[in-house]
This record gives sequence, C-alpha cells and structure tokens, in this order.
Amino acid sequence: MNAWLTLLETPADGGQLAGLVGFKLASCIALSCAIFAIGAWGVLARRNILLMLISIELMLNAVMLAFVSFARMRAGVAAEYTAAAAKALAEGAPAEAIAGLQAKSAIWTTSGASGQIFGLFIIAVAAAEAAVGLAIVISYYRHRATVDTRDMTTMKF
Amino acid sequence: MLDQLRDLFPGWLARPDHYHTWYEQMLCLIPLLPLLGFLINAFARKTISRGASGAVATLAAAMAFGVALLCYMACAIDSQVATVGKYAGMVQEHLQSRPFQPMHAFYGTWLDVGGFRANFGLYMDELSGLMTLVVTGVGTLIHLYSTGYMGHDKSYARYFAYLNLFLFAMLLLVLGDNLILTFVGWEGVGLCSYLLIGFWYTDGDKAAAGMKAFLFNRVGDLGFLLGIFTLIAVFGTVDYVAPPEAAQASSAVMRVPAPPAPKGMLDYAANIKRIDPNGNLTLGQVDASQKLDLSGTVGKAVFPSWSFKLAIGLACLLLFVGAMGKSAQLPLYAWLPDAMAGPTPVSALIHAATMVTAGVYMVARLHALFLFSPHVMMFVAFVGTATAIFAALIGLTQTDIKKVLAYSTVSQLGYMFLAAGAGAFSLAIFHVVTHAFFKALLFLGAGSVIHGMSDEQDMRKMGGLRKHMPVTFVTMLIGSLALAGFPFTAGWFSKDTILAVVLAKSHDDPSFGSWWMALYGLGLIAAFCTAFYTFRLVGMTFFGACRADEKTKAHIHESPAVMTIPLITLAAFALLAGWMWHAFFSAPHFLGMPTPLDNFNMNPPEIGVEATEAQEHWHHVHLVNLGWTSLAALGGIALALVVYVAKGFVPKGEGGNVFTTLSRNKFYLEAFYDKIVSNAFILFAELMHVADVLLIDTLLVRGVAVATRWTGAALRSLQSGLVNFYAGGVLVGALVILYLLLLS
Amino acid sequence: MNWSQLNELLPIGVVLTTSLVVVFLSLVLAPKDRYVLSLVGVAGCILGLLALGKNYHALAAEYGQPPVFFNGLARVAEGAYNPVLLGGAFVVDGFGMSIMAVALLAGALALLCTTPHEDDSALSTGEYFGLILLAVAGMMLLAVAHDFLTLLISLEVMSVATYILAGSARRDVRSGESALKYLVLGAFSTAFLMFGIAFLYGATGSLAMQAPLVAGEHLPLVKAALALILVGVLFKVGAVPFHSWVPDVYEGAPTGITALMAVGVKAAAFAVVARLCFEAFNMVKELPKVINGHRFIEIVYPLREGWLSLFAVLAILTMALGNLLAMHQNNVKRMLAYSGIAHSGYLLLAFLVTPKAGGAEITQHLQAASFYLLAYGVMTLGAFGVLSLMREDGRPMEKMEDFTGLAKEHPALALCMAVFMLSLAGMPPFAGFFAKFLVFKSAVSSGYAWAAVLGILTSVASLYYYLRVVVRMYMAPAGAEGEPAPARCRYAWTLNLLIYGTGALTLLLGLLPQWLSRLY
Repeated sequence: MNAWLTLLETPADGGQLAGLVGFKLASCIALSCAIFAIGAWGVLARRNILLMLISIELMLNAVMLAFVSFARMRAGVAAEYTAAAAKALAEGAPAEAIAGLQAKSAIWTTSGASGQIFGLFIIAVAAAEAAVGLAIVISYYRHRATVDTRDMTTMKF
Repeated sequence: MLDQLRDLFPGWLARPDHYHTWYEQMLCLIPLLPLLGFLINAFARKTISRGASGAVATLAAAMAFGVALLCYMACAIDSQVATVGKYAGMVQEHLQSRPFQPMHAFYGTWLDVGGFRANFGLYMDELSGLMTLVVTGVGTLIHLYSTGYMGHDKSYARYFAYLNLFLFAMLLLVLGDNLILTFVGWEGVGLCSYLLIGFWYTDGDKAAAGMKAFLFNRVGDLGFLLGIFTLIAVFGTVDYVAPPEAAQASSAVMRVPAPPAPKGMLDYAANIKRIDPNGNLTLGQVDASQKLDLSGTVGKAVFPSWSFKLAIGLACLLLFVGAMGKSAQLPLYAWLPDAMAGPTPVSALIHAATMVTAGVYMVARLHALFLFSPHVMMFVAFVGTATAIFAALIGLTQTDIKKVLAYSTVSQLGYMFLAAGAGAFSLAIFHVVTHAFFKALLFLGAGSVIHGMSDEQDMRKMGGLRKHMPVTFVTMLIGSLALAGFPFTAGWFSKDTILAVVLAKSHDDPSFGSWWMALYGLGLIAAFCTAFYTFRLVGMTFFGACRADEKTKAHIHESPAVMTIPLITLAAFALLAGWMWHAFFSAPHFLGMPTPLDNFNMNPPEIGVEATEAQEHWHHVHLVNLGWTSLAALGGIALALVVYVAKGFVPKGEGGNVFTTLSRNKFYLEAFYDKIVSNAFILFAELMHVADVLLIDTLLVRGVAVATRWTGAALRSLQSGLVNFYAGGVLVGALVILYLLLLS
Repeated sequence: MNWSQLNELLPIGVVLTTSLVVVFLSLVLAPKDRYVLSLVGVAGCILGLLALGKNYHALAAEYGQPPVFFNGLARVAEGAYNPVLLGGAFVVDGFGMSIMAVALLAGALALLCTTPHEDDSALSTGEYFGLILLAVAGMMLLAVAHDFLTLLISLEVMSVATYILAGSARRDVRSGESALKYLVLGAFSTAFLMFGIAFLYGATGSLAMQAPLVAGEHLPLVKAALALILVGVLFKVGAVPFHSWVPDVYEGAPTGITALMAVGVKAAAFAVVARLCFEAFNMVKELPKVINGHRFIEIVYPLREGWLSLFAVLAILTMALGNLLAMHQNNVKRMLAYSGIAHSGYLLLAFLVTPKAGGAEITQHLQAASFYLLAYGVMTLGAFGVLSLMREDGRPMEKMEDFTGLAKEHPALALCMAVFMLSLAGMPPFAGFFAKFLVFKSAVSSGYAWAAVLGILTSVASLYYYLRVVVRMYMAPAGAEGEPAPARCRYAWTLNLLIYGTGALTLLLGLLPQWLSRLY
C-alpha cells in the first residue's frame, strides 16, 4: 500500500512551484470514487429510466474527474522537474544532470496531457450515449407511455 | 493444383512403391462405400424406386465386405507367394508361417492445432480386420434380410440410408488409426442407433426410448473423452501406432515447421514392455521401483513407474466407463432393452452384433494399456460378471421375445468383459464374433416370427410355430443351441473357454485368486440361466399349441427367401464358427495379443516336445471346466424343455414318445419348478427388474431431471427482467472481482 | 510514421467507406429498391474479407510465416513482421485478423437477415444498414486496438451502434425494451471499464497496452484497474454474473442483430480479453534463485494467479448457468441466448494457461480460442439465419412448437438447422466437436482438469435442449401437428445461400479443421 500512498501525496514543496496549492490528489480521487458510488447506487435504486441514465452520467463524470486529477498531478510533477532543472541551471550543475531533469519533465508533461485528452473523449462518449439513450427512451415512451423499469419486464426467465 | 492436393493428402497420391500400397488405397473404400450408399439413399430417395434403394444399400454393404476381404487376404498372404501360387504347397506353408502384415493407410493430417495433432488414417491389423469382416459380413446379410422385413414400410429409403450411415460410422470406429477417429465413429454409431430406435417416431414411447439410449451413451462418452484427454496428457498422441514413415515426411502442409511426429500409444506400450528387465512381461507386472523410459513422449522423458501406472490406470478406467455405456454394462445397461423399440433387423445389427460390442473392441484395441493396471482389469471382470448374472436373471421372466434376447445380449456382453478382465482379450473378441453370428441369427429369427405373427411380440400368444415356419424354427434352434452353449456349437467354444480361463486364473492369480473363483461360480450360474431362458423362448414360441387369436393364426406364414437365406447362412456360421477356436486360443499372438495361454506361460507344446507341468495343469483345469459348463448348459436346456415343452405337449395328447417318461413326472417337476426354483428365481428376477425400474429409471433418470428442473427454477427467478436487478448483479460481480484480484 | 502500414487496416477502411456509401445511397434510391442497400453492404463485407485475406497472404509470403499472436513478451525479431502500427494504436496480428474475419461474417449475415420490404420499422432505411456496418467496423477495430483510448473508442462505436440496432424494430415493444436494457447496462459496465482505465492511467501515466508491464511499483492500483476493466469486458462477453442482459436483449432484438451481437460482439470482446490477459497484464518479474549452487532466474507473472483462478470459477459458473437455464426455454431464440452464455464459459476455459506459460503455450491456447470463435460463429450465425427466415404474417416464429415437422416442409433448411444444433452440442464430426475438444484439451493440459470435467458434463447436458429442436423438426408426433401454415419460411436466396454456406462450413470445419485452424 506504500506505493499507493506515495502516489497520492502532494509534491514535496506543498505545490508552491507548480501552482498546486490546495490540490490534494487523494481527496480528488476520494471525491471521484464517492461520485461513482452515488451514480452506481442511483442506477440500482431508481426505477425511472431517465434517472438511471442521469446516474450513469454521474458515473462517467466521476471517471472524468479521476482522469483530470491524475493528469493534474502529473502536470504538477512535470512542473516540479522543470523548476528543478531551472534551479540546477542557475546553480551551474553539470549539463547531463540538467538534461536528465528536462527529459523527465517532458515525460511527465506528455503523460499528463494524455489524461486530459482522455477526459475530452469521455465527454464525447457520454454525449453519444446520452443522445442515443434519450432517443430510445422517447421511442419506447411513444409505444408504452411509461419510463418505469418495473413495466419493462415483458421478457424474463 | 496437383502439388497442393499432394500436400493435403500425402498418402493418397503417393507413388505405390510396394505391393501393399494398392490395397492401402483401397482400404478407404471400406467405409466410403456405405457412405456413398447413404448419400444416394438420403438425397435421391424421391427419385429412385424402392427396389433400387434397397439394392443400393445392400450392394454397398456387400461391396464393402468384398473389399474388406481382399484387404484382409492381402495382409494375410504375401503377394510374391500369391503370384507364384502354382506351388500350392508353398502357399500353404507360407500361410502358416508368415505373420499378419498390418496395413496402415494414411490420408493426411486431420487436425494440427493448439499443440495437438490427429491424422486421417485407417489401420487394419488382425483385430480390426476381423471386426471389419464381421461388421460388413453380418451387415450385408442383415441388409438383405431388411429388404424383405421392411418391405411394407413407407420410409423404406430412409431406413436404408440410416443403416448405411451406421455401417460407415461403425467401420470408421473399427478401422480408425487413432482414438479421435474411433471416437467420431463411436458417436456416429450412437447417433444412428438413436435414429433407428426412434425410427417409428410417431409412437411417443419409441422416440423416448431413442432419447434414453442417446443420453445413457453420452454418460459413457463423458468417460471416453476424459480417458482420451488423460492419454494425451501421458503420451502426447492418440495414434494407436506411428503413421507410416513416408507419410510423416511429406505431411508438412503448413509453413510452420511441425513438431516431430509422435509415435503411437501402442508403440510406447510395446517399448515399455521390451525394456522390462524380465523381458517377458505381459500382464502389467511393472515393478514399482523401476523407471520407465518414455523418451520421445512430449515433454516427459522419464516417468516414475507408479505415476505412469496411475495415469494409465485412470485413463483405462475412464475409457472403460465409455465402454460400459456403449456396451450396456451395469449400471449403464438400461437403455439396451428399451432400444428394442426399433425395427428388428436393427436390433440384430446394432444392438446385438456390432455396435454394442464396440466397447469390447475398444478395450481389446487398447489391451496393451489395460495390461498395465491389474486393478482396472479386475474391475472390468467384476462389472462384466455382475452384468452377465444380473441380465441373465432378468431374462428368465421376460415374455416379450425381443426383450429376452435383449437381456441375453447384455448378459453375453458381460461375458466378453469378463474375458477381457481376465486378460484373455482374444477370447473376448472370439466371443464377439461367435455372438455376432448366433445373436444376429436369433434376432432375425425373432423378426421372422414377429413378421409371420402380424407384429405380435408376446411369447404367451405364440406357440406351435415350428410347423408353420420350419426354416425359422430350425435356424433358431441352431442359434439357441449356440447361445445356450450346447457342445460343439460356436457359443460353446467361446463361452466355455472364457470360463476355463477364469477358472485357471483362480488357481494362478495370487492376488485375486478367490475372487476369480467367485466370478467363475457366478459365470456358471449365468450360463445355466442362459440355457434355460433360451429354451424357454424356443419352447414357448415353437412348441405346444398356438395361442394366437384366429385372425393372426390364419395369417401365419414362413418368411420369403430374402429373409430365410440370411437365416440359413448365419445358422451355418453359428454351427461352425466355433472351429476357429484354435486360431484364437492357441496360435501364438493371434490378433496381435497375448493369448490366454501366454498369460499363464502355458502355450501348447510344440510337436515332439514334452508338455510342461503348467500345460498339464491347464489341461486339467480345462477338463474340469468342460464338465461344469456342459452340465450347466445341458441342465438348463433340459429343465426348460421339461417345463415348457413337455408341459405344453401333454394336454393335447400328442406328446410324442421322447418326452413320455418325463411328462409322467410333470406334476413333480412343475411343483418343484413352481414352488422352489421358479418362486425363488422369479422373485429374484422380479426384484432385479424392480431395482432396474426403481433405481435406474426413477432415481437416476428422473432424479437428474428433477434436480435440474429445481436448480433451473431457482436460477430462473434471478432473471426477473428488472434492469435495476441486473445492474445489481453487475455491481456485485465487480466487487467480487475487485476483492479477489486485490487479494491475490 | 510509416503510412504503408495503413494497408493493414484496409479491411476496416473498406467497411467504414461502405457504411457511408450505404447511407448516402439510401437518399438516392427509391424505397422499393432499398434491398440493394443490403447487397451493397454485403459486398462491402466480402471486399473486407478479400482485403483481409490478401493482407494475410502477403504477410505470410513476405515474412515466411503467418503473423502470430503479439503478446508483447518478446521483442519482435529483426526482419520479422512487426504488427504494432501507428505508434502503438493498433496491432494487426494473426489473432486480430481471425477475429476480424468472424466480425465480417457476422455483419454479412446481419445485413441479409433483414426483410427490406418491411415498412413497420426503421429497418428499411439506409441508417440501419449503415449502423450494422459501423458496428462491424467497431468490432474490427476492437479486435486490433492496442491502446486504451483506441479500445474505448472502438468499444463505443460498436456498442452505441448495437444499442440503436437492438431497438430498431420500433413496432415491437420487446425491441425497445431490449435496447433500453442493453443501453443502461452497457453504459453502466462501460463506466466501470473507464474507471479502471483511469486507475491504470493514474498508476502508470500511460494509455498504451504495455503500460502495466512496467508499472511494478503500484501493484494494488494496477490490480484494481485490471478488475474494473475486466468487468466491462466480461459484460460484453456475457460471463456470469454479468450475463443477465443477454437473454432479454437477444430475445427482443431483431434476429439479425441478435446474430451480430451473439457472434461479432462476443468475438471482439474475447479479443480484448486476450489482449488484456496475455499482453497488458502479463507483468513479468524475474526472481534470481540459487539451486544446488547454480544461479537461475525464475520468471513469474504476479498478476496471472489472480485472474487465472477467477476465470476458472467464472467459466464453471457460466457454463453451468447457461446450460441449466437453456434447458427450460421454450423460445428458441432465448434458448440460443442462454446457450451463447454457456459457450462463453467454454471459451473462457481456453484462457486458462499454466501460471508460467510462455509465448508458445499462450499461442496454442489462443489458437484453440479463435478456432472456437470461428466454429461457434459459423454455427450460431447459421442457426439465427434459419430463425430469421421463419416468419408468419410478421409475427416471428421462435417457439419450439413452430419447428414442428419443419423437415417435411423445408428439408434443406431443417437439415442445416439440425447440423447447427448437433454442432453446438459438440457432436462429432461437426465443427463444434473440435472446438470443444481443443478447449477442453487445453484446459486439461494446463492443469484445470476439474474445469474440463465440469465442462464436458455440462456439454453432455446441453445435448438435451439442442436435440429438442431436432426432434421437433424430424420426429414430431403425427397427431400434434395440427395444420401447419403453408410456408413457414420466407425465401430469400441470398440468406438461404448463406445458411447453406455456413452449414457446409460447419461440416467442413469438423472434417478438415486443419484448413482453418492454423491461421497463426
């Protein structure tokens, strides 16, 4: 579990350099998990199909939050490396050390970006699912005039 | 194009470089001819006439028999000698001295995937060759008979299509050169049996009987498949013998280099035997401390011998479960009596002569493996004996003529497994052969009777038929004598020697000696019962007054020639086939198996050599057994004749001189029979029958059905149709998976 | 970037283009000519298959051996075919190609199963055919997706299209209900999948398929990610306990779409299972050891133990439940749905490898799996094809009774149906027998003999309900027949042809499995 904890710690300087003051990865992930759980509970508990779809949107948003938080954490680490590189340059450290720090900064920047991009894709996916879902609900409602899942049990066993 | 074809079928287009090759190419005709017959009858049944469809089917079977005979002769007689055949004496000499040359035709790789390889190949050695001859020979006669018997049926072509398909599957089973091919045939004959039992499907009961047969066989198949997997795990191959060298070299169809072709299972088994320090090991007496060299098996170079023996034992046990299903042994026998719902020639071909003996054939085919596990062999013998006595007892009280024969078949199959379990595999096959003749004869005779009696099967409504159907009577009498074990008929030779071997084992086998004695005793009782119920059948059917109603009585007639010719032919074989005994019994390594005498180191003395002590002992045992079996057979026959024939004669006052003396004692004997013998036997037989119905039908079949229904009902309630509930299932599943994976 | 690599993705491009062509063509064509659209779609599928075959043979010829399964364990040798394309977004290997072929077959059948003249639904419009092709493209993409972003997008392309298609029979209440259930549960499980990807991203910072291989230090997070991703994928597969949508959705959807879901979606999802288990979560650890003074390096796969035992349990439950419930169905379509669940269980058995299996053994197991998918695909497509031909006055005939005496009326179709049923039950000499044989054999050889025993037992039991159909068709009691409708099956020569083709293929795969079993 140690690895899990170190990952969730804020940067060593309290996020000063990266502008991460007040950002706590652990709490962000906890919030994301909570929203996910609430969404899941909604899917289980609600009998109205529209509310179920909304609950699913909630779950997707929780996923997005998780992605964005992880990405932000990586961007923060990247900023730390950038700052360290700048500091090393100022202190006249050897060139390889500086290059190494800059390379690390680049890696963390890229990995941070891919999380953000994934977040954007999730928005698209959520939109597509919502659009299709609502269309199907409307089509169903026209025939049966109900959105209650308890009425949707013509096929069972 | 040709090159590609050559790649795909390396054996097919190979240049024949030795004499055998032409016959090897012909080998595939044996199963393919019936397949062709099936295709013609299945797809052209609307266009060809009734006569033509029967002729096509019969001809297909007959041609398969002809080809089989040619191939068998080619194996048995060397070509060079045959070409200079004018020196008849030389041929004669050669026939005696030259061992049988097995044929192995290889038609290509069937499946090579996932690290497993199986071939298309046919293998004819003495064992499979003999079985092929029996299957095609008896099959041809029954096809011929069917053209008469099924003459009035409207689904004539469909019947012959099924019959030919059955022959194809059975020949694949027998001739296949690996267990998978055998299994394909095994399932194929099961399917045909199911189709033919339910042939008159308009009758709900008969369709149900077909279903029962199919399901019981699947239980056996479960064992068979698991046995195959075990053997794959041990040997890495399912080939019986290695494919021919030429085929191995040219079979690299795929670009991926194939792993070196493994040897066959039986090759391994033979090799293991050879490296045994004693050198003459035959009965699985592998020393526990000894290492077995299996170099060449996939991945496993050296086994400790105990684990090898365990694995082989397990495989044999599982395969025997498969045999129990197919050959109707306890407790999987119950489908066979029900299977009599099918047309009578089908009962003769499938449920007496060929398919049900497939289990015995498989055990004999793999005898080299069974020899490694004496405990499994003992189990085989136990199951065989139990089935023999159990079915014989039930047979005593049956009144349906076909049911009597069905239980008798189950009982005789028990004898075959008793022989196999005693290590006398060639005797088991001997009994398969003789039984094929006389039981097919009896069934066909029964069919003739049923045909003449306007489809009446109840023996209580028959009687006195010998005057109306003389040919049927005489041939059935011969068949009955053979089944009862009357001296010098086919059944006497095979059954008597099986019991002799069992008796010899009781003296010879140090670990299970007294058990063998018990099995011998039970076998004798079963032999007595066999003789009794057989002649009970004869007596009730052919003697006494005719008990049928007037309408039926007016209609009784002898069957046409197409039906009597097969009867006569089979009767000749039932009388004479026993004289082959010398080949099965004492020729060294006939069928490629140790003979029973090999097992006891008691080969008959060479000419001019003094008999050893063991040989003297064997002769003694044989003589003792001869006395007992003859007593059992003659006693059973006599008792049945007294009770059923003599009793039937007197009231009419035309008792005939032969039975006058006995009929005077009628009351005494009848009382004796009724009060003591019959009551005890009937009670016991009824008990067995009740146990059959209660345990097998109710508990096993129904019980499984009910259990599935209940679990199904419980599970169905989970499928409520409510989407929230389903989502709950997903969530629970997710949590369980999370928990399991995080824990691991 | 090497643009010539795009050639390997050509089959997908063909299908996507065809879907657009179909949509635009529908605007031009008169309503009565709309049947042309399905034929155009089928032509697209056939073109896709041809392109696939051409690529396969070109690769096999150029590199001297067929493209094998890429499991990421070993570096691709110099001069050999490197299946990883476009910066790691796709991996076009032999396994992926075989799944693509199955998806294309399923698409062709789904296109043909539609009656174009029906005006009671959206079925005749161009969008319907376009969506089928889009779903097929999604399946093909999923079969070769090699990073988690591609995976998610292809999964959604496939899923969203099938959600709509499942509800496309607008007049039929069951169709709408099935679409809603599929959508809600599908989106629900996809949320789990995405959450898993988020965790994986958090632990490794990468979305590449190999990402988990290098992220040793965050093992618990990676395990949680694996669990959540598996939920999403096993849902599509229909494994217990994520199976409950299968019967309802399969029953309600139009038959052609059911076939598409039962075969295409399942095959694509199993491709993902293979990539996850044998590449993404194939984490290797090397443990130095000293035995008898000799130094050894023991290779262990720390993530394998977990999912191996999980798969064994899931396979058992799936086989048992699918078969048990299929026995109680009177609706053939629903029975086939439950049997589809059971077959997912058998397929899961193929994924049980020994804990230390290397590349060669994994390839053997996947060969068994893809043979199973191909065989299962062919016979299931055929069975659904026959089912979709059986109609009477617009009411689909799906009950067991509806098959009574079919053999007399339509002997060829009944024969095909009998072949499909026997093959699904695993009877030799049909394809289903070898498929099951290989799967059971691979389970036994990797030490899961008990699972194989239960598998064989359930497969014996399954014979009961498959045979019911055969018995109905061939051995119906004469009295109970009533008066059969004049023609229970409509005639569509294309679909009939396809059914005969699948029937022949079912037999051929059983007789000569060699021809198609060693694709990689």
